[in-house]
Amino acid sequence: MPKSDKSKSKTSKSETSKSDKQHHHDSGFRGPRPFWSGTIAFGLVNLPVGLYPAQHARDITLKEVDDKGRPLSRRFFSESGRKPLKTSELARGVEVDEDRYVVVEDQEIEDATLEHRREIELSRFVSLDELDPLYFRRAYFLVPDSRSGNGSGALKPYRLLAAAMENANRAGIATLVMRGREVLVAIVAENGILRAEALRFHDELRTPQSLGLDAPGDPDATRQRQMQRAMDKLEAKRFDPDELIDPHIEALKKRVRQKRRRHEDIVPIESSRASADDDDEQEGAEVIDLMQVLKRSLKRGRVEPSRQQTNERKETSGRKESSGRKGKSKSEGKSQDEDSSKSEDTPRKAEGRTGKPQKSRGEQAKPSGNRKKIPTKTELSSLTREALYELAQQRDIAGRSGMSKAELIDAIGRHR
Amino acid sequence: MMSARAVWKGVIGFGGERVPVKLYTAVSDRNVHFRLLDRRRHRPVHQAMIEPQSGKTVSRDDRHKAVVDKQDRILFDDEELGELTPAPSRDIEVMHFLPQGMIDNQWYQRPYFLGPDGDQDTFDAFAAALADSGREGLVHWVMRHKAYVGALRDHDGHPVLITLRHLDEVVDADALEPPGGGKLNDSEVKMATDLVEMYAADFEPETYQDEYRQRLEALVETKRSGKRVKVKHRRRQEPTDDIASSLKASLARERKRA
Repeated sequence: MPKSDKSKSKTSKSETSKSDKQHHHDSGFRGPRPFWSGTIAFGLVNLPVGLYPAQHARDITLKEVDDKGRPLSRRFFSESGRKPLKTSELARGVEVDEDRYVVVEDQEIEDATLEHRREIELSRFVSLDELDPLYFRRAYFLVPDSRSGNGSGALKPYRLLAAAMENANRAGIATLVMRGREVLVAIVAENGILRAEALRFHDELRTPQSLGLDAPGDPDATRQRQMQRAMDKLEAKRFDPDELIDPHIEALKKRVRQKRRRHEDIVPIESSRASADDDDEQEGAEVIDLMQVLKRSLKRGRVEPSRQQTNERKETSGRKESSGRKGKSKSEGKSQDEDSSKSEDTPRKAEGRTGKPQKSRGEQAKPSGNRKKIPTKTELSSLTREALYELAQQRDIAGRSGMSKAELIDAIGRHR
Repeated sequence: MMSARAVWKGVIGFGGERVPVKLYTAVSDRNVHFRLLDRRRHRPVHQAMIEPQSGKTVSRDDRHKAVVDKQDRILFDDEELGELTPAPSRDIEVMHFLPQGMIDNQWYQRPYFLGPDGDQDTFDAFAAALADSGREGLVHWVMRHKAYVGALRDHDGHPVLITLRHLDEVVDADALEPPGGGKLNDSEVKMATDLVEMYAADFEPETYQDEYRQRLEALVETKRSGKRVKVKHRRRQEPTDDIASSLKASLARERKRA
């Protein structure tokens, strides 16, 4: 497919979405906020950073609709029931014996999460070639946050650390707490940019031995040489990322364009209920936003306001705004300005804050305080599926793992 | 011990060579899996798709797929989607063999160990050739109606296949500009590099545990006896501004330790 076409449509999308949202934001710019923000402790140097996912949602996705093209939602039913079960009638459980389940309450799971830690202690640097690629799970870009420091801010330590790691050809191994879970990361510097590669835990990897696979035997030398020659013929010096184009997605996009041209199977959307419809637009826009955020933040050396700072600002301005760790972590992709602009007319559970003041501080907050907060669909649709999933998780929304983005938005919207 | 079950079988092809292999998943899912239950009966629930406006359940036969866009939805029927689905094949086609390290690790997604599918001699020769080459193969294949790209690598004598993310799933790191500013002070870069070297360590992944998962497992275990799991508390730190002196102090501290 023509690339220019793709990038053009993306750009225009992001422009519209940006201008739509600009009046919400004092700096005139908004985008996804970091997944995580905190400090890298390198020796006695502390470097404030934000983490942004390096992977994002697909360009195009298929959703389930009925014969009239109306989007569908997933509901849950008891074995005999005809009416869908309400969230309060659902529970989470683990099968402990065949057909015997133990119910695990939301709060119990919450209690198992780790206390949030805003520090990445970087005091182990391993040689890059020691890092086994089997461990790599997911990547995040590290963006310096100059606002937190005074004067020179985070930019210089960031650049120094990146330069030093590149000089030494080493990656830092550390742990951090993200969404209540400990995450093992390798911090890798590449072309002056730091990246955190989330790693699998040791026991999450099998070994050939544990799989019962024998080590390959001694090869026949002639056979091996034959293989070697065949390999040599396919030798390439450089990796061409175009090899990673998904032919299936491209074919789907092509069919979409074809159908548009022919006006085939197109269901226009009534603007009155543009809920799930925002979805893809937002998703596409977010892809670009993330890129722009990264570009701009890296250049400027600052991240968007972190959840913690957002909370503090809100608290000082006396807003009855509950922004628990989990609560806020769901708001990943949107500005707190939009959040607060809606706060007057959005029913919120104020008693969550007044009732448990000790828990509502910043990232340490428990989600119970704002579990009843109901974000608008527009707010929700600006989030990534992952962020929505977290939101659903915190609300204990049933069947969330199987839900599409639209379904998640729908379910969160309904959940009270 | 009994050999684990392969998840898929395919044939690696490059030049005139054909290497029949079995794929074994290298990742074991250790997460605690929750099922959704009917709270009253403690029974797993059934699920169904409904149309939210009418509340009516839509049966599988009446469901369609659509690409949802801002102004419209573009419907697809099963037949059409079937046509778009990549044709089933057992071929794992090698596009290129690249020097190791060419494929940036941000593309890596999911590893599989490879084992022979019948022809042991061919497999052994292939494993040895791959290990000796110092290269990794970039491969394309179709598995369960999905197109995959992968890196074919040696892993201590065992060939592995790591699926790679598709182009549209990853933020292009090359398009990003590193944080700018004036030239860095050479002596500071030197100090920082020295500090990195002082902290040199071996990669020992087995020393890290997923505490959250352990707590969940413990929770599920103790649930039977009705007990609860406790949580610990931790502290945090403030940033510093004078980098040079901090680096110097850190170096001094580490030297003393050494």
